[in-house]
Order: sequence, then structure tokens, then C-alpha cells
Amino acid sequence: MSNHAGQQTVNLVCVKCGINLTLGKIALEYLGSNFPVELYK
Amino acid sequence: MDQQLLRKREAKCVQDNPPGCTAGCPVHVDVRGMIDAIRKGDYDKGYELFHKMVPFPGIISRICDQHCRTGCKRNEIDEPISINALEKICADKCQNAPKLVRPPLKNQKVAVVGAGLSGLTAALELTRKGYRIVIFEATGRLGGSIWNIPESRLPRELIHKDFAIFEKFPVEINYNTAIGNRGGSIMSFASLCENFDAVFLGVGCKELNSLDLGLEQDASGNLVIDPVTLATSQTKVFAGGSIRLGCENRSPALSISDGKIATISIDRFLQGVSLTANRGKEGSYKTSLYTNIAGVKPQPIVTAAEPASGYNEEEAAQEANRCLSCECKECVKACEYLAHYRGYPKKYAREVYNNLSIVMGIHHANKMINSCSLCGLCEHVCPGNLNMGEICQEARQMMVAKGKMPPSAHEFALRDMQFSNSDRFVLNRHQPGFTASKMVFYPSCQLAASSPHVIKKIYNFLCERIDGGVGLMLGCCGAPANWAGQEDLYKETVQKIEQDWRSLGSPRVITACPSCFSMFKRNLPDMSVEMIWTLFDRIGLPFSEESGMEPKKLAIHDSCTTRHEDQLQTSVRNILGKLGHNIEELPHNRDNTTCCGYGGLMIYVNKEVAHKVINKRIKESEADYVTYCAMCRDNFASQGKRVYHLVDMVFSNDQDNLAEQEVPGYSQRQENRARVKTSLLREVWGETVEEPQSDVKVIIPPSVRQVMDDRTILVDDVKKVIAHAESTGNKLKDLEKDQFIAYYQPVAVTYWVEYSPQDDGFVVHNAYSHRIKITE
Ligand code: SF4
Ligand code: SF4
Ligand code: SF4
Repeated sequence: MSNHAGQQTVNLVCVKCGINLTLGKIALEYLGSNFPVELYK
Repeated sequence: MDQQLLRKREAKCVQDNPPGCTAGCPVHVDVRGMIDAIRKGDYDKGYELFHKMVPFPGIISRICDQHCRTGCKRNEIDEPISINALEKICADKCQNAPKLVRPPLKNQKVAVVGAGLSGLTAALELTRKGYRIVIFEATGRLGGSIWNIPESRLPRELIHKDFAIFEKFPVEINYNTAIGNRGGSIMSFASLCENFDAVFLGVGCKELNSLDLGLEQDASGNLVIDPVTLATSQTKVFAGGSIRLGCENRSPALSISDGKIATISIDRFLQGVSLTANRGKEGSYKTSLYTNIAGVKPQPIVTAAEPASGYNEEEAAQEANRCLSCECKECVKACEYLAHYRGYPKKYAREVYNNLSIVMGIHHANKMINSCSLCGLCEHVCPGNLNMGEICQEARQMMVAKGKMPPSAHEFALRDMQFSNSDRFVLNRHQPGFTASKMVFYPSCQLAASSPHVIKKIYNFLCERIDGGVGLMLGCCGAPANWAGQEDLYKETVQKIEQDWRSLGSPRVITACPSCFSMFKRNLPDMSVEMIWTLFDRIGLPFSEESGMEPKKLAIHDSCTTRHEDQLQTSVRNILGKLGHNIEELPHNRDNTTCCGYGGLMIYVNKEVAHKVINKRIKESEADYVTYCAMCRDNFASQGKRVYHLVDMVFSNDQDNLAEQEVPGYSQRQENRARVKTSLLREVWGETVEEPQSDVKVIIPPSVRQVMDDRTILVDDVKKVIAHAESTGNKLKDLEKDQFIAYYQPVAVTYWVEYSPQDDGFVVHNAYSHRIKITE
């Protein structure tokens, strides 16, 4: 997963809607703790 | 694990105890540390350690009566280390003496009567605690009887140098001031006691009656002194040194020790706390540190070429090299896991306990707790039988119970167990044509995974040889749940096995796996269980034409789960003998054997340590190894060792390549198990079994297969991701690589796969997984 998060730009397209992925806020949960990060979505 | 149990456990470890020299030394000089510094030529450090415990290092470095040597471990080999001579070279060569600090002054005043070594030690130590000290000395100089020692042995400048310390501290010294209640005394002892908060009496070996102090004496006229606290019959008066030891038993070391013991008592007395609590280890005692001296060769003590000037640097280094640097660490020497974390069980036990106690924050010891193979070797080699595995397993159980076990730790092993106890592998049958079983064969999930071809052969052989029916049970014994600390899951697993076994009429269980054997033996008390090897040793082997492997030299690796099964180990050797092979015993064998890195799920939790364990083991001998556990074989083979499973030697025909058999990957292991079940059903019970239809066809290049195995991702997981992506359309396209990327989370773990379609299937380019959940 980190293979992609580390790169500056990605050339990924959502197959369903044909839209390019852009950076956005995401909430993650691990072992009951939540933390927000900025990732492509 | 409560505090009390922890204390009991960690008390079994003696590694923290001082070496015999330090315990024997009445003031506990760190001789081992000092000698280590001498080896490195660091005399300043050596002197610092010596001076830390000895208030007058110049004097003592020449005249010490060396109680340390009585305790020195080398006594058991040849001669004790010449410790005082090494102290002397530190005192002589030291360039930078450590500075003493002056503490803030307290109000309480202590009188020290007599300026011999005990009195001066008490005076100095009490000053360093901030008490106001007044010394009363009957003669005109400090030192008492040390002036009787010839100058050639004790140069006078050393005396002056050591006592110069009293000029730097606010100590009042009254020379030519005899104390006593008789005439001629300058001050009466009674008024002294009135004027001071405490008194130390160190008047040397005087005729007591001449002093008439009014203190209690015994029948032979000696002062009554408490041996532990040095208290006399008068509350505030303490006494020590030659007055206690007697003129015949003068000892510089014991005198300074008395001065220190009295200091502790006077300090406690003035603070109003118990004089007697926790005073076990003052003065000279015998250590309980264990040090293995097997193989240590005798080496004569080094004598100085010029006795008058003592050791030169070279001689000192030579003598220092005779020191054994005494310590225990027997378990650490035997166990790579214990060595990896650079400590020893007493230290680890504390870390485990702290780890369990913290509620929030980082649990540093998680990985350490989960890495132990629970093999019990430490308990076997430890003089106090401390079992680190026991501590780690209990800690795991508590972590699971409190929800503090990181799911990643054992997840894969537990999933693998779930597979083996699912319909894909589980089978419980009587022998075809029988309605009851006298025995039941339980080959184990790992043997089925690793050597699937032999299962049917063993089963047929058993059916041939045993009358009354041999049933078959396929499944996993629950060891992964047990090792992972999953008590509930383990109980549930064992109950299920017990049920199935009872439904076959509770026959005697014959297993081909040492782990199953020990799990059943320990946790299913009603089950009678035996390994195939003891049975074959009794009923004979299936000598067929094909099993004609050339006799060779083979080193036996015993399994750690059966380290105490002496009969089993003997049977394995008997069978190898019957096969015509030459047996080599490894240095660690039978009850002293090591783990292969699988036990306790070590290999899943900590590959680095497991590989160290495996590599240490496979280097114990050049010979090919033979094991009687599938995991042992596979782990050794995975690191390039030529190794046989005994079962393959007896039942396989492909004799030549046995030692190079490839280790199946995780997916292959599951497929092998499933195939064992279907082929047995077809070939033994004559049933038709439908192959499960695989909906997704995947092509996985070997490099990707390796990556998947390293990341414990199964082919099945990858298929699920692709099937999900293809059916829902939820996938990304990497325009540069012209590949799809998709993820799927069947339970806790999210799997990602990079793939592209090819013909009627999909090529997998990469796969990875994580446990972080995307919530928004
Ligand atoms: S063997 Fe290990 S646990 Fe036992 S006393 Fe020695 S260091 Fe401690
Ligand atoms: S061998 Fe060295 S460490 Fe051991 S008791 Fe003797 S002086 Fe001390
Ligand atoms: S791996 Fe074995 S020898 Fe090492 S600490 Fe654990 S139980 Fe003891």
C-alpha cells in the first residue's frame, strides 16, 4: 500500500466512474484508535 | 500474573547475584568490573570501582586480607585471582581520582571514639551523609594499628594521602584525647553520650575493663555487640573494628566493613527507622550466583617478576585474563531468543510484568513476549529451573483476555488452524469394513501439509498390522491456539477433538507429530496416546523392497515438545539403527534439545529470531539431519540444510531426493491437506468426491508466490480479491502499468492485489495486506 502513498503523483483511475484519484482526508482505525491522514481517494 | 507470582518466578534467576569475590569481600568491591577495566587498560575506571566501596584505597590496596579470594570461583579450578595485587596497580596507575561531594550539613552530631580503620570509615561515611562528626583519638595520629605495619609494605605517604580527605571535610579531630570513665581520661564516656546524638566506639583491641565504659560485657569480658547492627547495650552507642574482632583476628577489610555497617545503623537510628529490617547482605557472605566452569583449563597464578613493586601492566593483564567474569546466563547461552534481546530472564520478567501493567502507551515487550518458542530449554538448563516460556505463555493469555494482543501477531497461524479444523481437512472414520476402532491414526495437519504422500502409506500399514480396526482422524490438535494464548479457542478446539474421538469409541490415538502428542498428553487426560515411533519400534517396520536408502551418518534433532519423552527418543534411535544408519548425537539432544523455530509460533511472529534459532541449530553438525516432526524438517530445509523426516525415510520410495525436498509454501500446505482428505476418501473409502470448482483462475509467477509467502497471503485470499473486484467493478486502474488494483476485506485483514487479465484467468503482479481499517 505504501508503494503508492509515498509517491508525489499517481495516475490511478477509478474504473467505475472514470475519475482520477486526488488527495483527500481519510479516517483510519487501528486497534480501536482513530487517526486522520491525507491520502488519495 | 500478580506481583507475588512474578517475584517467585524471577527469584529463580540468580544472574543478578554478585560473583563470589564481591560477595566474599566484606565491603563488596565490584571485582569483576574492576578486572574488566584492567583488561582494557582502564586503570582510572578500575580505581573508581575499587574506591567506590573502599574509603582508603591507597592503604587497603597494600594491606587487605582478601576475603574476596575465599569466594573466588577459581578456587574450584586452581588458585583464586590475585585480587589485592590488581587493586594495587589500579591505585598506582590511576591518573584521575573521582571527586567526593560534600552534602548539606545536618544538625545531628556523632562522636567517633578511636581513629583506627573502623572509626575513620564510620567518620568519613557519616560525614558523607551530612552528619557533624567529632573524632576523639587517644594518640597523636590517625590510623591506629596500621602504623605497626612495616613501611616496606605500607609506604607512609599512602597513609597521608588517604587521610588527607579529612582536611577537605568538616570533621573535628581531637588528638591525645582518651575517653573513659576512669582517671586519666580527658572526657568521661557518660558525658560524651550526653553531648552527642550517637557514638561509634572503635577503640581497637584495648583491655576493656581499663576503659570502664559501663557497657554490657559477656563472661569472657568482651563487649556485647549485635553482630548485625553493631549496637551495644546502650541505645545510641555502636561499636566495631578490632574491639569486636579481637586482637588475634585483626582484619583491615572487616574493620572498614564494620565502619560501614555502623554507619547504616547510626543513620537509621538518627532517622528513627528500624535498625534490623532488610539487613541480609552486609559484610562477607556466600553468593548464590551459578557459574558454569565446565571446560575451563587450569592456569597458574601470575607472579610478579619484581615482587616488591607488584604487577606491571602486562602481568596485571595476564592475571586479569584468568578471571572468569563470573555470571550464569546458562539459558542465554542456550537460547538464541533470550540472547537476541540482550538481557536475561530476571530482567525480561520485569519487562513482561511492566508491559502487562500499563494500560495506555506503547507496549514495548509485545514482540518479545510473542517471540518465545515456549520450548522449555531454559527451564532445563537453569540452575533454578526458571521457565521463560511459562512466563511468556501466561502473558499472552492475559493479553488476549484483556484485548491487548495485537491481532497481527498470530492471525495467520490461527487462520491456518481454522482451515485444518474445517470441512476441508477434518475427517473422522472407522477403518472401511469396521464399526469400531481399536486404534485411531492422527497424522497431524503439518505432516499432511509437508509429506502428503506418506499419510495413506502409514495408514495402510497400520491397518495391515493392527487387529480390531484402525480409525482415522484428520485435523489440527489446537497447538497454535494454545501457543497464541487463546485459551477459549483452544478449549473449544480440544473439546471438539475429544467429542470426535469419543464418537469413534475412545480408541488409543497414534500420532505422527510430536506437538499433537504433547498437546493431547497434557490436555486430554482420558486419551491414551502414543507416537508412531514407539509403536513401530514394538511391531516392526514395513520393510518393502523400495525402502533401500544407502546407510549413512545422520544427526538426530529431537523435537522440543517431546524433550522429556525418553522412550520416544530411544525408539527413534532404534528405528534409525534398524534402517542401518549411523547415528550422530548433536550437542543439544534429548531433554537438552533446542526448538526448530516453529514452537510458540515464533516463526510467524519474529522471523529474524526464528532464523537465528534455525541457523544456530543446523550448524551444530555437518551431517545430514533427521527429524521426526514435519515443521522441524521444513524449517531446517528452508535454510538450506539437508534434512530428512524419519517418516519419509521409512515410507517413501523416492529415497535420493528426500533431503532436498522442497518446502511447500503456505498455500500449498493447505492444498496438500485438502488433497490428503479427498484422496483418502476416494482411495481408501471408495467415495466419489466433487472437486470444489474454482471460479477464478490465477497465474502467479514464482517471485510473486515468494512475496505472498513472506507476507502470509494465500492464493485463496488473492482469488477472493479478484473475484470481488470483477463482480462489483470496484477496482482502480493504474494507467502507467496498465494493471488493475483492487482490495477486499473478508474478515480483519484487508488484501490488495495488482493484476491484469490474461486469457480466461488473471496474472497476479503483487499482493499486500494491512490491518488498518478505512473508516471514512
Ligand atoms: S539460567 Fe538464566 S534464568 Fe536461570 S539463573 Fe541463569 S541467567 Fe537466570
Ligand atoms: S573468577 Fe573473577 S569474577 Fe569470578 S569470583 Fe574470581 S575474581 Fe570474581
Ligand atoms: S525459546 Fe525456549 S529456551 Fe528460549 S526462552 Fe523460550 S522457552 Fe526458554
